[in-house]
Amino acid sequence: MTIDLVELVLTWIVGGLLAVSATLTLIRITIGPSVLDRVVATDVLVSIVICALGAYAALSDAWTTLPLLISLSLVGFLGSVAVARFVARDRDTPAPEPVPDRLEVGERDAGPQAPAGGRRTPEGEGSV
Amino acid sequence: MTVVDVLDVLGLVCLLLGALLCLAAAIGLLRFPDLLTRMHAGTKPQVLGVLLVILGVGLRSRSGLDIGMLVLIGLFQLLTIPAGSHMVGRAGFRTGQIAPAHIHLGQRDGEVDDRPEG
Amino acid sequence: MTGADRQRGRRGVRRLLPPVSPWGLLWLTVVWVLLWGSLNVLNLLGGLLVALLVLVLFPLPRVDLHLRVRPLGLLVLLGRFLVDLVRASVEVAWLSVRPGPVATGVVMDLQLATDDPLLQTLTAEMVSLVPGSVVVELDPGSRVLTLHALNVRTRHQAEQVRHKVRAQEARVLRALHPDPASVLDPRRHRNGSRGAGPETTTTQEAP
Repeated sequence: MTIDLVELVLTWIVGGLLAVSATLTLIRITIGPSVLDRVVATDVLVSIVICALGAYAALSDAWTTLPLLISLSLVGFLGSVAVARFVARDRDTPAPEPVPDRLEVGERDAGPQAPAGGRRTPEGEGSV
Repeated sequence: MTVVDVLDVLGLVCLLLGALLCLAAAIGLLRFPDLLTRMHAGTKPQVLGVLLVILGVGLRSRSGLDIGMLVLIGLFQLLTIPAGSHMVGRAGFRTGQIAPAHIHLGQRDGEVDDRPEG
Repeated sequence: MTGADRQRGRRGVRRLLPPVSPWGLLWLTVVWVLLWGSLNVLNLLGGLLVALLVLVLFPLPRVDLHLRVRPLGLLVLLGRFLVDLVRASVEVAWLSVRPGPVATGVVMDLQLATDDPLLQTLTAEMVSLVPGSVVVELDPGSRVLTLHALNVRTRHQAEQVRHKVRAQEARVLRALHPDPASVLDPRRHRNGSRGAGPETTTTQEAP
């Protein structure tokens, strides 16, 4: 009896927490500002969905969702990899200043540590 | 209170902790200033959060093949996440989507930068 | 038919058969059975068939593994990884919800000790799975790992992160490398980190 009550309360708490997390993550997906930010937020959303499906399975004894979890955990990263491959020249946010030394993918002449293609402030310029 | 009850409640606690990690990650996603720091926030529901939820599900399911499936889920998650996060991090780094100022730590501390010139 | 003939014949048959590793076959069958979620003869045979098809149709290049698995080292590696995972997750969670200024991070380089690409990859994977550090770049040739670490403000803290990653690598080596002592020799390590490449740290601040 008491166990049932505890379960009920915890179920609602878990559901509420996941719903709030998903909403906040959706806000980040909406406001960006860059494609990669959205990709990271989408990955987090996928994990929240995995958590939610897992919680649903555990709380309502619906073990048929487990294959869904397997496919999500297998292919969840493909989207971010695909976007990251093509985003090397991301123009979603206009750069505040021109970047003269943008490093091409695969080139590493500027030394192992140059903040490759990074927006450098005068301070950064002096120390790098 | 039987062993089964205890396992059920433990499973629920794992689910709760996983959900809390998801919430912390979502808050971090909103508060952190740039892409790479946001990626740190995203790592923990993807790894520990999912592992906790899987553990919770396993504690409540307790059937051998379900647990095998859950182990597979955890394994796939652990294998695929570094690939995705590495690709995103590298793309972000190369396109300069980390916060604007790059300063050597040595200069900030007033220490000598002992790195060889290169 | 002489014995030599028979042997040649057998070798010919062996050459005709595609090189299928029994471990791959076993692993893929196990995955198949787990995916179906029930163990019966049909699943087992189907799994074997699918595994065989996958291994024959999509052959992987042979990888020469110079590994020696030490159970104790592996146990230490996994146990410490779990502890690190929990601790770092709680830390990052606190950083993201604590009131006050938000955390910033730094990008830093560090020199790995091993040349083995597999062990380097394993180290990098485990480093990036633990919250608080994201691997940005790994150059197997020069053994330089570039990572972004959260909440590092001073040079001392950066050195601590480097120390942590090196300890992680040492655990990987002790679990899997055939001769970890030769790689982890402190003299060689110092030469490697000072001579082979520059280790630099750049911080970034919130605007």
